[in-house]
Amino acid sequence: MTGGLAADFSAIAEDLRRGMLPPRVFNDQEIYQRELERIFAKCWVFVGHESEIPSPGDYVLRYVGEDQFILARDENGELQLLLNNCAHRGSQVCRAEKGNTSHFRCPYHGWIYKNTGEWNGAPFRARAYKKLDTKQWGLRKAANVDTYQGLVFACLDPQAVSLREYLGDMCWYLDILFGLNEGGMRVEGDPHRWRVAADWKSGAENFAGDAYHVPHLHRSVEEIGIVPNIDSLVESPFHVMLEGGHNMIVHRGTLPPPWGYLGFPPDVVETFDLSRLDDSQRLFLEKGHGVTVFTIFPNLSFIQAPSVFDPTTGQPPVIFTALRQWQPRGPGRIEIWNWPLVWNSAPAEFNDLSYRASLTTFGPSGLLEQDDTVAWTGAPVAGGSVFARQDGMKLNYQLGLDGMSDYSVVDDWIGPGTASSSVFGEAAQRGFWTRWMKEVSGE
Amino acid sequence: MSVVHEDSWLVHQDWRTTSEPCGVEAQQRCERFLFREAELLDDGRYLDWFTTCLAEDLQYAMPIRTTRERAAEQSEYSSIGFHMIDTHGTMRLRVDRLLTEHAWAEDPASRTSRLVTNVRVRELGEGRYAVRSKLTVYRSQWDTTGYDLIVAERQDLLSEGPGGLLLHRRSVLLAHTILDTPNLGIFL
Repeated sequence: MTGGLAADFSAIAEDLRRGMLPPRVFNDQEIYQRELERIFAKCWVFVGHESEIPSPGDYVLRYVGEDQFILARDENGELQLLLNNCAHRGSQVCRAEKGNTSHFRCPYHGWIYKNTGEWNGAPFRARAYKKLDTKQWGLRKAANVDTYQGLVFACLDPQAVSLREYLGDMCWYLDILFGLNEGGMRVEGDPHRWRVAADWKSGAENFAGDAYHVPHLHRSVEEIGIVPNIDSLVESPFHVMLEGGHNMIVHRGTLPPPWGYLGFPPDVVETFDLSRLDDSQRLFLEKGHGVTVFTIFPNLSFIQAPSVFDPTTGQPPVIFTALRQWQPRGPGRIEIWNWPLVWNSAPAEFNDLSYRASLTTFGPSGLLEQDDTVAWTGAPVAGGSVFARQDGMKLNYQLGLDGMSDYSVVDDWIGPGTASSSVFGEAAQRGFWTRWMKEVSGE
Repeated sequence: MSVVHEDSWLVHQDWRTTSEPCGVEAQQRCERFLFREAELLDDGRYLDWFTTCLAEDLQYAMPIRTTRERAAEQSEYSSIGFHMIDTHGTMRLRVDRLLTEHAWAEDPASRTSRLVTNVRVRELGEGRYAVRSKLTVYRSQWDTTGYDLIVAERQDLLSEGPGGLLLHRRSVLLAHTILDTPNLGIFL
């Protein structure tokens, strides 16, 4: 760590308090390296959904920061996150991105590992490895892997708090979104993956609370009839901000009756079991609330929204759900991962429509997401600008600060966290950045 | 309606057994269709492409490709996961969007050059053709020398309409597992 960088962080922290950030935070090798070491290697990071590896032996390749891991369900049904490098010479022991196996064998010299990561043999073992301490030479693995409501997270830091503690009040909302029945949700198909010249924090902060961009950047989807009355998406919702930098946009109802809880149709709602929730969580649903988007720090986001994905057929709006992750791939570079989700309990016809609504709006061909990728490519360019640094350019995060806008804290919010009166503010984004600041500066 | 047409990602699973190699004339007709389609799209004539190339019963699918072990003996192309599933109606939406003033992803439009090669045609009878081709799209955008290359095999079902051939089904089998282009705002 350089003294220079520590001083820089202290200046950036002061900027943030005044609702500003230097563009450098979106494109800087030193800061990026800090993020890998202090955020991605320290925080609980999403690595997949339980439905992707339902059976013993199932595995998928996953990433924490830029490090590649095997997420496996071992023969005892336990989840393991194994560094995908042989302990002998570092070769990748798994080169397929998904499959089922009880063992991984290195192609180089043939070292074999169980899907728990444990060393399990090598060729000519009796002559070659008479005294190897096999307990020491398994695949390196994540210190912690845990799940909440079907979401699988891993944490590489042995000193970390529990996942439950890390998520904190977010659990209250995850119970509502994913825990409405025992069967839960599942990933439909495989995740979409694509590269964009944007920074991971642009996606994360956008899904933490940026409703303000919707009527402008996504205007085209109103013009073609996918999202009627797009202005309503900024006029009615509000922010909920939690300790830990986990933030969201909460709405006051998206679709009228007969659509029910969270905007699902009656034949899906009837599969929900509200006795799984407490009184305050039920009240959230009964008031018609739902969560449009959230970001769990650092880089897991979520969207649940209705779309009229084919107005030509008179198809009514369909609610879709997706998890998305902003995978860092260098300063100002991301790989976006997008997992459409459906209810296991829902009729197949509805899930088909929901999946289609999801593809039409978000994902690489999504008619909303296409435009986000354009908007987010600018920040890293500004971040690399010599003039921007010399000139002291700051980006504006002042929406909602000090009477700037119609934006205040409400004191009668029914759930945990701090709720705002509108989305004409950037407190949710500032909350994300405050957590970011805490982690990268180590203070 | 089922969103997942079990065989939609391989229009021509029965390529060798149920079809006949075509004659020169049919080969040329199908090639001309594909070349004209590429020309309309490269020239930004999206509405002309939509109205003159696509049949009303269009089924368009781009399955997600994953890296699998040989031993898995499973297709790398998902039968349930897609980058795109489109009908005539949803394709119209995509075209309509490009005609608005707010399709930021394609304004300014990408500079594209579609190379259509390796065209193989089989006759299915009654004016229907099974067509496989390779597509390489050069895509560059804004004030830069940078570009993306998008590579795919397309498996199409064409048939004679009143005004010429029309596209009824298309499966775009990507060479990529991870797309190296910021969005699918262009047509493949």
